[in-house]
Amino acid sequence: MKKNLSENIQFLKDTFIESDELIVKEMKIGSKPCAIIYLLGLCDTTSLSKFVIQPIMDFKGTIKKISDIPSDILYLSEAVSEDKDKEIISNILKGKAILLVEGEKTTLILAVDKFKERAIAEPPTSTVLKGPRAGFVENLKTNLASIRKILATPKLKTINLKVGKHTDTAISIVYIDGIADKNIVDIVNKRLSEVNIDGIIDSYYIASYLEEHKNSMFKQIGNNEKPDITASKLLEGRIAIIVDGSPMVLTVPFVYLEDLQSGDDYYNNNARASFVRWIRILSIFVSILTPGLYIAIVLHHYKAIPLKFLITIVNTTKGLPLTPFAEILFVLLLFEILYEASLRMPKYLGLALSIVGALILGDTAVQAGLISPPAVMIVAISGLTIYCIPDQAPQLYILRMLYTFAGGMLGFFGIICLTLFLISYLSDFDNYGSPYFAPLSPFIKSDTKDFLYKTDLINMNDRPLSIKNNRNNIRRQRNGKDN
Amino acid sequence: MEKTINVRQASLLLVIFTVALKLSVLPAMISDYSAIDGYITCFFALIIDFICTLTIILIMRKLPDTNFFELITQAFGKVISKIIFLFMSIYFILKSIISLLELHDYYITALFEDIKPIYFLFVLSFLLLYLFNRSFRNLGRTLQVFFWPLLIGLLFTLIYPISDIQLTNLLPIFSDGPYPIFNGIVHTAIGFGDFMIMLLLMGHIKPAKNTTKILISYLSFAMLFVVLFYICFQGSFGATSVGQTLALSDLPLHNPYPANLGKLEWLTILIWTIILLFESTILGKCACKCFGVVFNCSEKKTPAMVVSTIVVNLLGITYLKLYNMIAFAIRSWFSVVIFAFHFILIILTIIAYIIYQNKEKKYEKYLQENNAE
Amino acid sequence: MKNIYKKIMRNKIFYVFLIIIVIMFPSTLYNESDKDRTLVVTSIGIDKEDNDYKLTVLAVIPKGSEDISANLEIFTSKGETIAEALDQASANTGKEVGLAHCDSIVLSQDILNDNISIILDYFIRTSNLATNASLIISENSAEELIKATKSSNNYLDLSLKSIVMHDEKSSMLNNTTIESFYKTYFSKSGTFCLPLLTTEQPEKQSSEQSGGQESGQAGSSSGSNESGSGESGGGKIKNNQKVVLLKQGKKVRELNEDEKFIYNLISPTSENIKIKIENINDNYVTNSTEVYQQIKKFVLPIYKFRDGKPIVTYHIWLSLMIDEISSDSNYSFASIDGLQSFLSDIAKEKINMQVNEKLESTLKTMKENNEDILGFYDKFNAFTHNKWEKYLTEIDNPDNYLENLNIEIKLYLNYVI
Repeated sequence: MKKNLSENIQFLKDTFIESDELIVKEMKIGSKPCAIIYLLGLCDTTSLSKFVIQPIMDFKGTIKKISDIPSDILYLSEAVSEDKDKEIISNILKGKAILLVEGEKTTLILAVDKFKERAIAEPPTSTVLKGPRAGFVENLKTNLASIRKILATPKLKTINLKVGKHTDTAISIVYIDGIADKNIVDIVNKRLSEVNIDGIIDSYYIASYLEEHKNSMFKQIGNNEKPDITASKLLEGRIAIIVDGSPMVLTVPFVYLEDLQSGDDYYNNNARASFVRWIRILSIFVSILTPGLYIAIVLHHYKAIPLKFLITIVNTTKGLPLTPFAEILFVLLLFEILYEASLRMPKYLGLALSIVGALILGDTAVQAGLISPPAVMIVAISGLTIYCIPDQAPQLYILRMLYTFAGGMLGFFGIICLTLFLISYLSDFDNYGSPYFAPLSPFIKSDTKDFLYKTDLINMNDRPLSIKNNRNNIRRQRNGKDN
Repeated sequence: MEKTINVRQASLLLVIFTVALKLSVLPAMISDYSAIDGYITCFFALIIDFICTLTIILIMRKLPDTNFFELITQAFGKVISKIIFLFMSIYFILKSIISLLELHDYYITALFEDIKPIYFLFVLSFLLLYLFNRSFRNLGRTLQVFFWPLLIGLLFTLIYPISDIQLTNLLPIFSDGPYPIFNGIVHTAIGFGDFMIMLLLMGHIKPAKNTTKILISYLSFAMLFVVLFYICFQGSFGATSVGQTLALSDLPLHNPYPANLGKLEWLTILIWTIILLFESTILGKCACKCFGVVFNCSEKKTPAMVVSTIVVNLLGITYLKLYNMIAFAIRSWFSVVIFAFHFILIILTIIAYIIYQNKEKKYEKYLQENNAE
Repeated sequence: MKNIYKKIMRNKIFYVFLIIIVIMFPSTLYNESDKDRTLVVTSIGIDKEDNDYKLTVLAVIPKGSEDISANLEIFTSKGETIAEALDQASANTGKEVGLAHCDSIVLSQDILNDNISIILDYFIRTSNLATNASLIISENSAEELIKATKSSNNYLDLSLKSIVMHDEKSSMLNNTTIESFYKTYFSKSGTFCLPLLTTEQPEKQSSEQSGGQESGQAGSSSGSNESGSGESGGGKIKNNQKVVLLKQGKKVRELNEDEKFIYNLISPTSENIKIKIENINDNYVTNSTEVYQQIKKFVLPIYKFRDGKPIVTYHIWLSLMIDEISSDSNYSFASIDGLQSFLSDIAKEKINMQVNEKLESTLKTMKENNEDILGFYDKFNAFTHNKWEKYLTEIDNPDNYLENLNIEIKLYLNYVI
């Protein structure tokens, strides 16, 4: 920036050449010429007029320096001095207005930005029967405020970064000082600082940079859309990464157990929560193993089926044009098409197309003798149970396919080999020092209180040892006293 | 010395080692030698293994930071130690092949109508190559995931057969004197020798409270389970036990109640598949370690590739010849060699420990004298 | 080249999966199910005809019907050995015979004149057959019983195995599987008991039946295919609870009623023993016949020697409940307190007497025929080994060890309301 007002205005006009939204309002502050520059649509013009332009126009005195303006003239809560060109341009792009004064190199950045954001609502991916229903939105500040509302402690720290050459996306690394492991905070900070990318549209973009095992289909970074869940994860020693423009907040370290837990478990009866955990674990096995086991038994291991069941299967599969393996692949493909179509189709056509899909799969194809009822039933059960753990759905779909191939090719042996391979692969799948299958493997006794079953909160005295947190501050309740 | 594996994981590896290879073909073989005293043969063989394992655990307590390879090399020098490790490597490979042959036997007799051996070997080669590359810590963790379902499944297979035990098939003991028992112990040595895994785990176990107690208690439970299994087996089958070459699946099949529940033996076959795969992985891993030490391979990939190639090729050659392999390992002079090998190894370990301790004492004395001067 | 190698090594697991799938996918895609290539057999009947074995196989042939019987078909084949006969059945049907679901093997009485271990040798060696398949003897031909099985599946949803299992629960026939047969075959006693079933031909269908059977038998070598449901129809299975005794694999005789009663009583696993006593005169009834049913039983056998002779004492705690009273006198049920025990001292005495009489008869038969049905040799050898060895050296003929054996039964009766 220069001291000459006209030159500064020209510089900004040249920077935003062919951008008709750039507004330059020239005025005088006292006797000195000044200009307010902002982008139309990003700026709250009402606040700008009421709290900036009007006071300036009403001001009849003289100002000695630009830094006096916010305290003496303006009715704004936030007005920051800035002289770096890059920062000035960045702030204009973020919706702020800048005040240039003749004879001053420094500008004032006026916080009059206001974006239209959606209301805080219950996120579609984490619905609960009881408990808080607030979710995150696309604004980083609002999300941070939601977390601060729950964690009212000065120990909640944030590290702010800007990533993305053309998006300049604001990212906040949030953690509780004294609970989270500082080394992990430093690692995350370092990794995010090294990101050199054109733009960040969603939090998932940076997830790839945070993953420790590249090119793996398994989830390595936790995510959620609810402030209460994020707050509880922070209290366990995790670190949250909030990305401006995305309602999905990332958390590290991640262990597989996280996806077996739900917010409902903590706002409900313990016995019920424990029972539902077992249902979820069972649903993982049912969803990935059922088609594979079915095809293994039908193709290779008919001896395993009791006689009456064998007669039923033999009768229903008699005369089908497709081989059993081709049949199951066909049904899986049909279900995937149905899933994809139901996501994309317009709401008006939804009802009609679902009836068509159900009729085609459930009735017509079976009656036509193209596929058998057991195959449809097996794939339907598998598809339903995948959504008992929606966070793991992408992985479960792929695993289901792999198990179908394994079962079809080598029967039970193939399934067992694949299982052994996967468990072995994931046993060493540590993320930020946390074993993937903790507390099952390695067995951590104290963490089992919130694993296969859920005990009373009174009994959970320590933070989970599965997460690499500050081991000097492991107790989270001690006879009602603060930590 | 990197401590990579915790006590419970080491205990589980020991349990798998103890249980595997003993519950399929071996009961029939032992019955062949010891007839009605088969379970007593098993009991005494396990006692011998227990004593050897305890010896190694006590040596581990005294030398927590020394591994087996260092101990033997320091005591006997590089040349002799490499010969010992080479023999150990061959031993582990042979046992691994027997495990895999048993696994294949289960498939071709029980599970599949018709399995193409090339597919079996093809998939197994990749799996073994991957698993042999894994560390003991990884194997321990994998085992922790599988352990409880495996244990419940195995215990479940014993519940019904216990009611089928007939004491007339178990008594009288020592009716033919001690010779059949001794004969059985010597000739079925290939199925025992569980202490070998402890030799490889020496120096890698993270110290914890009650390490010895935990290891011994897990081992004792495993041995108790095996003896109970043999009692159930001998008690159920009696004179026909020699023909039951798939003991673990034949036992629930024989009792009418689980058999009529609907194919309960399939559950045991599936459990047994996992156990045998684990066993062959652990054995292969041990072979890789020994191989790596013999040929001075610093990274894991080369020994894993070599050992997995040897195992798969030998498996292809000995395909469908499980009983020939078993016959070779049990009936011929080879069984005596295996039995002697176990004993020689444990004695060498003790001697190496004594030599090591003497050297330490001499070194301390030398330091004291120097300090005094 | 180096770049390709690096790329592959970065994603090696993915490429391994891809290779495996690409290589194995085509054959898996076109692979027919094993069950389509296999003749799933549920029962096998073995008869002897002109020195050849005639096999009657009951197999699953899907017809799209919910009725199980409609999905079963009968095939016959012949061969000099069992293996040959099964091969013939495979050749006739174009499918491999699969014995994994075979739960019963029926033998005709004619075959029992030979050592059945020769016949069963194939089944004990094959890995396909589960060794818990039951052995059953057919009073008529095995083929008739198999046909009757097919029709019984229609209206009773029964298999032969379920009839045998029901028998096993209520009688001394603890385990009639092939495995159990071989266990006793190789033991010193060599005796084994099997159930004997018969078929009852309905009168109307009998003439059609014989015509159908003749054509079936004539065409059997080329593999006749008879469906027994209704048209040439099998009869009904009849279980007279007869028991056949085999010794060293050959039929010796059928057990008489006294023997069956005693062996049922002694067997720890038998349930539903019925004891009938007559001419009861006590406080409640006059000249009546009472039938008692076993509710619970505990048997404790004690093997010992008395004066150098082996003696088995069975202590049996038996809880009984009255099943039926048929009495001459007009007793009123209401006049009797329902909580009173019907098991009067007179009744107990009568029961004990009956048991002792039957025991005497059984013991006599056992000694006369030298048939160690309960395996006393193995039991004494196990529990009193030294004394037993001594006893065997003292008697003239060690094979005649039953000569001096005595059996005692001590009943402790208890009435259950």
